[in-house]
Amino acid sequence: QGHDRDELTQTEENGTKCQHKQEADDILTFMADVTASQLTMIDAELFMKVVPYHCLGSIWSQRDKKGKENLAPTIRATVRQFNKLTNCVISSCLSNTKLRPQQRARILEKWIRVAEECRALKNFSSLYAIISALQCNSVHRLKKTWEEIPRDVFRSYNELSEIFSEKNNYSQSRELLMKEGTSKFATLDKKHLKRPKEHKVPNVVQGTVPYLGTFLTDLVMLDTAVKDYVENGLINFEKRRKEFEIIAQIKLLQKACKNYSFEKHPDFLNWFYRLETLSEADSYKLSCEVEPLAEATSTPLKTRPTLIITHCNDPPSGQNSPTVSSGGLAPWDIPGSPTPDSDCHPEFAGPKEHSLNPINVLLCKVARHTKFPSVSSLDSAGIDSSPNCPPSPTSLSPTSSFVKGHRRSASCGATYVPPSTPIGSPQSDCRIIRVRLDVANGNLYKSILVYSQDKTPAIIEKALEKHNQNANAAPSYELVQLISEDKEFTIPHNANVFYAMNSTSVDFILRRKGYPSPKLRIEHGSPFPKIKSKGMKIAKALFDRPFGGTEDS
Amino acid sequence: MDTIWQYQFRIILLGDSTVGKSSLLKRFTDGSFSEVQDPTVGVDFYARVLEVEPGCRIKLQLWDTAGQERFRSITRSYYRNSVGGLLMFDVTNRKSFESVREWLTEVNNHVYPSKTIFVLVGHKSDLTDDRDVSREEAEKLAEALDLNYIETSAKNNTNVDLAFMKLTECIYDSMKVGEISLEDGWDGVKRGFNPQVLEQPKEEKQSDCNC
Repeated sequence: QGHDRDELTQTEENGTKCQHKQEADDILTFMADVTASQLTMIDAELFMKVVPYHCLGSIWSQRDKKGKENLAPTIRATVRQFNKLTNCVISSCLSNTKLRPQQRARILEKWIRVAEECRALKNFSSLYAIISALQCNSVHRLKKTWEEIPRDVFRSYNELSEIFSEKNNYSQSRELLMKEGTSKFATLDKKHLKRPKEHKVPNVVQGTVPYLGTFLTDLVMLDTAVKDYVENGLINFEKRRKEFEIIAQIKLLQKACKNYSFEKHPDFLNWFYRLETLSEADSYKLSCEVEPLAEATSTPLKTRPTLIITHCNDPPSGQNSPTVSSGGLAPWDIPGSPTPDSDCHPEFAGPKEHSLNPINVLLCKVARHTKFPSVSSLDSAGIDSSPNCPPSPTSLSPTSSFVKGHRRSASCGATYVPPSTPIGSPQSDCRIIRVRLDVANGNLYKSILVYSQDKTPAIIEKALEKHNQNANAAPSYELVQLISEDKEFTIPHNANVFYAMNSTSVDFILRRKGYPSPKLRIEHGSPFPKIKSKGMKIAKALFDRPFGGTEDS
Repeated sequence: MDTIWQYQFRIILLGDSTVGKSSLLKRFTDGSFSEVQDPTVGVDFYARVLEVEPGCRIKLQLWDTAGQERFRSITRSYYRNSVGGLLMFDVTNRKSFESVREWLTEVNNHVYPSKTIFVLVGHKSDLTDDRDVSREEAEKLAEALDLNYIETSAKNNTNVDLAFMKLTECIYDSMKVGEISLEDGWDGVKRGFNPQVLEQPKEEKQSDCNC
């Protein structure tokens, strides 16, 4: 696909409507590293031209005032390029509405690859532009397309998105910039983020292109928050010093930018600059042509599904008691962590996010009286499941797709599946397990995403981290699968957990090596002093039930 | 932030670049803000906890796009991950008032079919002499758009808390009737520490859910 278009791009015989459409997905004909290098070349040039003091809040925040239309042109140029690129990404994904989802997915995939290359080149501006374009509603909502994105690519996309997470005031992107801003290379510790060719050549020093927006916001905030003069009318030097720090950082990065060296690739530049831009409305319209609204609406992606109660066994007859009672849920994670520190993808936070959702409690009540489309499956869940069904293993297993928010409804049904049914769909190559620590009264489960390549030590580390234990202690633990009341299975110490585990259960415990099975031993209190007694109390209060494992009830 | 809260709402401030979004935000979060005084520190100071009803605390996570408004895709990504916001205009600036509809349309297009809850805010109400938009006119618009309207001033701290409180209540009410709910991968509303005493009367503790 697309290779035959090389000629088209080079010839100047354009002007037909068709030409535009073909052009947009011509991105496929350019190698990701070439695209990234060209983008970085453009960005670096623009960034080096930025007049640092124009970024000051006192100047940049005046840009929309009357008569200031030409204020800070160098910043405007950078912003324009940023928007040009996001627009280019969006139109390449949408212009050709006739593409099959698989074909369209190749375009998204290409951009994710370009983003990876930008990351390696430390071009945070283009990286953010691409990521934010893919997150734009018009592209984000293309469920069928995202389903066709290979798992590793999607994972990479998530990791790259994570860089720009606003958590702790964008601490991650700030730290990265501090760390790499003037270093020679990007520190790519993610194994699957492949290094671009340039890195194989020794002694080629890289520059850094920052995302300018962070500086602009910081400087605007500084200007708003801190007074120009102190009480006695003297200049507030503290403010100026802070502004200087930011300006100095910009200057330093500009200097480092000189280290880049790229060759021009006229074909790409030609394509990039000639590409027609789509308005927001146009791209949304195209997006709806690709996947009609109604279709999209029926998916959880759009509706913000409310239904996530995994073990709700509500009899069909309307009773006034809430469907989700404190006793009816598996006490997984304490719902106290302000932000899910999940090390699996957020969309796989799985039951953790769901089970104790008080909104669901509310909705359960509401559903009795009103039929909300979003809670309709709640009713069927209630009808389908027998009142005493055990937590269904299927309710925990993600399916093969990685589309944001997408499979969640699958976990709602809580229909009982015979234990012999393998967990997850056959093509699924990851699953969620739940792990608790083997301690007295320890029935606090944490959900963990297990990929098909994950080995035992990694899973133990993950589980320890989730339980706020020191992950370095991993070697002194073993991972034990609880298969039934009296049967358990110790996962071999370097096994592939995904394949080694018995598919009938998702419950695991972490046990200190050398400790006997809890059934055989008298409890001596917690061997894990790090577990806060407070936490246990909270859990106890929350679940209001005798502790001793969820399987006991 | 150590304070215990039951829900976190992600809130955006919207409006033309000169309407005073940052000042309002600064005023609202003042205590923590002036303490830190340095936006580059990785501290969560765009946040404040409000008690929406006795025992139910809401953490407002505030997003300010100040300085980044022109990076269109960035501000748009904020929309999708917000549950609501203050839609601001400057009462002394007619143009900013006229932009209100545009802002609303843009957000709604972007989050459709989900809903983002807004309160219309006429800011800089202290500047009575320069007033360019009357209260009546603003109220009319608010009614037409089905929004609450509040006039604020960051300068003399008029109605600042009230504006955020009103918004929080609107969102909370929508949650109660199920118009808004928690969702994976969506940061608009997050569940915090919740002892479940709020929504679950004691006599209903005994339930038929016993798996």
